[in-house]
Amino acid sequence: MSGGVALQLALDSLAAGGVYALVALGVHLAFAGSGVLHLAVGDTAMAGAVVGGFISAHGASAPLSALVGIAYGAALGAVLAVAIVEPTRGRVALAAALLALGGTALRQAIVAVLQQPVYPFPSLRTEWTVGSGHLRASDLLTIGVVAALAVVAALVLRRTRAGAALRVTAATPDAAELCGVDTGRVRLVAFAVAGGLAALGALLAAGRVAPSMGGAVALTLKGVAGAVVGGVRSPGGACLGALAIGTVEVLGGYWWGGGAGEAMAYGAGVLALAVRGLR
Amino acid sequence: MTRRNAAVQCAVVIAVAIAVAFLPLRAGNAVLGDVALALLVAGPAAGASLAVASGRPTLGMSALASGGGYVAALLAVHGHEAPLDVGLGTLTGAVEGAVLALLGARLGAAGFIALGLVAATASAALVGALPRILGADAGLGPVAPLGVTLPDGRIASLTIAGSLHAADAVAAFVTLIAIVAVATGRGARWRAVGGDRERAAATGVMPLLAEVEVLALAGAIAGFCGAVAAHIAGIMTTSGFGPEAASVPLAAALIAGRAGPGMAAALAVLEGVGVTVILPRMGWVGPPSASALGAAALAAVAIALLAAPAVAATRRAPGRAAGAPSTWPSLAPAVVSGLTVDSLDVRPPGGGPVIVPGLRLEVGAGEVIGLVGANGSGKSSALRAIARAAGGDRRVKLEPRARTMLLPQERGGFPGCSVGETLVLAARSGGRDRRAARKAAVDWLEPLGVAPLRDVACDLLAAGARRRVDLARVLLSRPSVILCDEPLAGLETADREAVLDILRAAAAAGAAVVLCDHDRDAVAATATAGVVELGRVEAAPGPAAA
Repeated sequence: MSGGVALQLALDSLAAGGVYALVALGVHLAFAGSGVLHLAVGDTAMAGAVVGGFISAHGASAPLSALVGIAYGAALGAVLAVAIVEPTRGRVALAAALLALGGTALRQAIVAVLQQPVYPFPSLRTEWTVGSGHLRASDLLTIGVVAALAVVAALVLRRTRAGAALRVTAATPDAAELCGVDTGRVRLVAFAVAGGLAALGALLAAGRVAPSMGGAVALTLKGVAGAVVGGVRSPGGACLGALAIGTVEVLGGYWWGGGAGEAMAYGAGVLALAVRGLR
Repeated sequence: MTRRNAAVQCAVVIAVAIAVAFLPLRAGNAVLGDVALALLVAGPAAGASLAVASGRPTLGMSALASGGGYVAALLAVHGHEAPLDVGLGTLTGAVEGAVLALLGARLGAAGFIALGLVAATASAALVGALPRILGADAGLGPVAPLGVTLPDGRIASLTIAGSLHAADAVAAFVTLIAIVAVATGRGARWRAVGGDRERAAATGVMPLLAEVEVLALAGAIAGFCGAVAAHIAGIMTTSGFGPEAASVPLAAALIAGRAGPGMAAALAVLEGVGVTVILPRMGWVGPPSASALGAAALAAVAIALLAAPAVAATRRAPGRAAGAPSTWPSLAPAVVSGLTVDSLDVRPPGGGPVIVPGLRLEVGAGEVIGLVGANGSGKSSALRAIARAAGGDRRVKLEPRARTMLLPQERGGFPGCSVGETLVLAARSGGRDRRAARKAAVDWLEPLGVAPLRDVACDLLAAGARRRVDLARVLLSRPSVILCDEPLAGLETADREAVLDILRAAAAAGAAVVLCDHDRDAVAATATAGVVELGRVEAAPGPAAA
């Protein structure tokens, strides 16, 4: 393997893992706020990205389309919190099952409305050739955005009242309510932010994979796998786990083909669930 | 599910299967093939219902069916035909189900749902990648119709009507198996585990074994249907591993709820008929595809029905007050033993700093000792620590083979089991054979005041009846030591008296009882061996000792 290819694989892994890290961060936030495993996070992400692509295809600028897509993903997350998570409070397994079913309904509703399975989203096309490897500007943008967001998320979770409310709710929701924390609002915000972050991830990935509702479940599962590998209760752990999943997928795909890379990434998720559980 | 409900469901399944068998008289071949495939969705749905009943809801059931279908197709491509390929497809489903249960042994229900979906998607990716490794013989592609090889070497294949009849028989057969399995004794164990894993374990049921059993059966049912479906469809693809296919069995099982596998299978078959027969003939071309639209519709119905506040889902069955103390049967412990706790440091269940240092208490066989303290003083943790340490820690002394049982503070009985089933399970764990266990359970129904509610699920009982049933569950296991965690909490006067009567009678029969409650007067009046206030023993024993 040449140095150029190694560098390309490293950047590919960071970029793919970075996208999954945003989804995994969403899984962590939803879990921390409600104790529920967000099995529709990829659907909110892709719905946001597809809507962003739809607006972009109708003449809106890329930044405006991205903002609308992220807002749409956040709004769908909030809707799921109100429609499924809040009524099933205290029944986390049922909530997870209904979120997965809600994702199914959401995917087909979006497809039925937009009538187009894939909506390309504009991304940076610049590429550099280093040896026999190709480096994409879109990957560098992804890595930069994810790194910046990770720092912001860490600051918000540790230094702000909202972060404290989330941490207290995650630890002991009943005690949090007794302390005056509006846990319903915490859950709503957590699911909305999860939807927005995941939609941003899907938009950043558009340079590699055009947004489509068909890819929603794969995005959900890789985000969940990452969160479980690194620890679903830890934001930093969830992000690092997602980077590991992205690396496994890219390296597995490089050596044994794309399907094998995907299977290895899911296999890592299965192993992590079996060994670690939701800790 | 009661046996009566199961019998009714079985009769309905048989009647529907007979009616479907006459469909070739009214419908053309194109419809028959589609209906045959729709019927075979019954297997994954019935399997998903079994899994839900055992507390292991899964999105992996259609993948288990597809796994069975894939193995059958792979074998058929290599010249191994029915019934061998279908049998091995069924076995594959069973093994996959058991492996899924073992992989998810440490997971709660939510994690298990995720595990099923990840495993299904991983299977799809793996199967999709196999053609690159195995070439054209990877099993994805055309599959011969069901048939048998004649002595002269020719193959007799089923006609389309024959395929419908085969699918009809298979769907009815697997649905009947699922209905009978979940309604009988083994099914009661599965439902007990699904209702309350910890209580089931304390009542002698091995949760992991029950989960492996139920998912192996569910996998076998799904795999059987998947293998037959691969032959009837004439082609094997990876679409059955997909998320839309995955959601149908789970949605049907969740909507069916306690109505069980028969209802789940019926819902899934109706959805299947809708998307393979009705929508295409109405001209639906999508997007989304008819199958995706059907899955989404079923998912939406499940959300609409189930995403409701928990209080709206329960309907209380009150029961009447319990009988007189003299009527309590079956109270003698299997092994008579006292309990001595010496310098036991108590920590919270999840670990952490010591909250009760050096706990000491002693209660003899036939005595009741009280345990009191303020909220958060560690009473419940102390009882759980004693239960954990009993039999394996020298600081908790018991007679050899003595059994300690905890009556937990929250809930009571097994939510998925009826009162009668709960009592029979407990009686079996007390060392009785099946007949004696049933008699012991019947003997308890009348004095508990729940005889008319024998077939009512425990979580539909009023608080007092539910607590009495749970106490009977503990006593039927014939424990030597009973650890009661706030048994009087939330009960009205008559129920409080009944619970205290049962405890006094259990002590009189030779059990050692640790009674922990906030009601200091009731504890003091019942305790015959003194009252411990977490760290010190109060001077005044109860009236029986005075």
